[in-house]
Amino acid sequence: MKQKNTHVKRSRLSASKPRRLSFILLLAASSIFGACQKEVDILKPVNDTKFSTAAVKLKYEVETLTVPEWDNADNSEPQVRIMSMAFSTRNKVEVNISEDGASNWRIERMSPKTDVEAEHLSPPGVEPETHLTVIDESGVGRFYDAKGAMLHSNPVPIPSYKEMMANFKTNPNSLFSILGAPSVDNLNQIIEKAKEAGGIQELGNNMVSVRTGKNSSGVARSEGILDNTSKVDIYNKDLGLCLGSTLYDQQNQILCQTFYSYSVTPDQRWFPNRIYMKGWDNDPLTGKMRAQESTTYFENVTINIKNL
Amino acid sequence: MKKILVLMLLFACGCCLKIHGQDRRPIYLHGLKETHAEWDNWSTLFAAERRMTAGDNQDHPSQTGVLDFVNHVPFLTNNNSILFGHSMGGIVGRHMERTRTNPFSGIITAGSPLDGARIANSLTGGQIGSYVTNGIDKVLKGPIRQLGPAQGVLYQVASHYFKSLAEAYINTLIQEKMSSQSATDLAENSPYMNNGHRTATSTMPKIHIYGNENSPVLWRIVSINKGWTDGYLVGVTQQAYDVCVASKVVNINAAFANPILAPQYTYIADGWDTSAKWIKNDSENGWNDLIGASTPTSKQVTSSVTNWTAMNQCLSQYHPATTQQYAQCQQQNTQNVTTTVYSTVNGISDGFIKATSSTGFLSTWSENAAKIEALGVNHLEMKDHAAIKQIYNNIFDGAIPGINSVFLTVRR
Repeated sequence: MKQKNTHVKRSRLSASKPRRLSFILLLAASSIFGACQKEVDILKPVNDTKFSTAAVKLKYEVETLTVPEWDNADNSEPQVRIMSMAFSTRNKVEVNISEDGASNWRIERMSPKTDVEAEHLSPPGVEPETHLTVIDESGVGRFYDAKGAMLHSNPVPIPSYKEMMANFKTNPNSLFSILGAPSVDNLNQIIEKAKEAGGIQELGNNMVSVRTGKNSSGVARSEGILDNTSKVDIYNKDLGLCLGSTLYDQQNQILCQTFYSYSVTPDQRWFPNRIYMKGWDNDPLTGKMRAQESTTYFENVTINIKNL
Repeated sequence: MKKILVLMLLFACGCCLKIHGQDRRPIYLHGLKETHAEWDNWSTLFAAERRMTAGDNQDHPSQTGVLDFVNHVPFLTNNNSILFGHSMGGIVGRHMERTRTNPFSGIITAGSPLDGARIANSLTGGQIGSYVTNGIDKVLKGPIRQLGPAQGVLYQVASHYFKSLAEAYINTLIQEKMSSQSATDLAENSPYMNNGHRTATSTMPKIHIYGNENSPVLWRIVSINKGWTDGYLVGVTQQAYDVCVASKVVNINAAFANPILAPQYTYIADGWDTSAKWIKNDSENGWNDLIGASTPTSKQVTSSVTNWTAMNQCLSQYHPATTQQYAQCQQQNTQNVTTTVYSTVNGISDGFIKATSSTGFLSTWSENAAKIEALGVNHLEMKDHAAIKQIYNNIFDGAIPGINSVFLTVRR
């Protein structure tokens, strides 16, 4: 049988040159057309079968402005000042989260509204820059230029929304938890848990401080920040809003303070429109603790939640 | 009569060939810790195309100071010769022109630190070591916050790659080359640079070729130093930057969607932001500072600033609070604030020597020099880049306005 197949193959190979040439041309044309088609397709919004009926669809533009602080005493060190220069990025983000907690992503790079870049005299690079990133549910990121040509593919660590989506099914109110605010019901649960651990402090005027330690999150364990920190959140009990948080490391040293500003959707769902963070870190250039402020703005937010 | 005219014409042509092609005897001087091989490409080409048989293209001791280098270059008095000097070789040529009688008829320097090499100052000042240490710290910020020091194995490997690259670069390109008497001589404001040759007047015809490399100049020159194409590490760092930005966005979204863990995710996102910032901006800006090619400036940055304490106090007066009251408190205590932040402008350089030094901006000796830009060429590419070949051809052919005729050399 094998021999017969081989024979057939040979006889095909001995076809006339013009026919072979036509075939090769057709193949080449198909490949080029296929490649072009792929390039065009990839620029369309994420819309594969699984995620076309995603439980949660988020769309927004996010801009981050980072301004590291620097000590006047370090004035004489140009390197210290250069590392303290402001940095901003802006992206249009589209995230689809399916019922099982998987997610896929489309991240389109935009010009920041807050331009912090100086115009350099050195000529810019000639290489194509990344314009679009598509991340599939396995965490494989594909990076494309403005013409839709794939530049490279690399893994991007994406969090699992499995637990969050499981909570949705058992507690419809927890749907609010993906909107930046834990909802009053959820907040009460958080407070009760914290009371058991002795980590609650009434601040008066409907404000409460809640301290949560390591491993309180219920997310998959790792050795990163998620597992090795504790935090104190300030909540407004009436609104079920977290107004600010302080994050501590294992030695109870402060890592950062975070404050949130919210907006409300027409159907009365809260979502953060701005997150301000001030973090502290050891600076290898000076050996001193250095503060860095970052402000994250969310604009043109669209949230679609499917009734499960 | 006709025969006489033909003979006279032939004689004139012969003289012309002798002047422009047959007796140029060029002198090629290599750079610091380089060899004659640096000029092999051009000396072979010029001999083949222009009948410029090398008068001198040898290895010279380049680490024991400029003066020692000069003393090893043989005396070749030739009123028709051209001296070609790359990097330190150009400084040696300047010294020869100042101290020898009729050593050559014109000098062409390429990437020579005529006003001094700031990188030598940065090495002795310790800034280069700090730059690398800081870069490794910043590149690792996102991966370690996300995955922890133990689980970020992939990123540890990646960082090791960056680290070994940076160290290899420093060892091979900076420390090995610049830890010498020559580096001390070539530093800005060194006793050698201030010995009077730089500030002396000179009528010697001269051309200064300066590289104007595309940014990021650092990764391009490192790529060439490692034997890769100049865009290789640009691509690698672009990938690293892309992953950092994507990881940052993913964590910001987690903070957006999951309020219970928002501070952690925001903190992780900030780590990725720090990594991205160093890869994209700080590495290049910092390097330009180390080679003296950056100029300080400032930018106005406007951001929304909230007095969080006042806002929370405002909110606490309402019980039960409504969404409208929340919005009101937020609005009352938030304002746009414009602040001035530090910034720098990266100037023109070949990735190693800034253009102002390659053209002798502060050197009286260079006042009569023609300055020619080599676009897209870095310091290490001057030995074989196509743009440099074109520049030399233009010089020999007289295709560049203002070039002294002493450099005109007929093609074979």
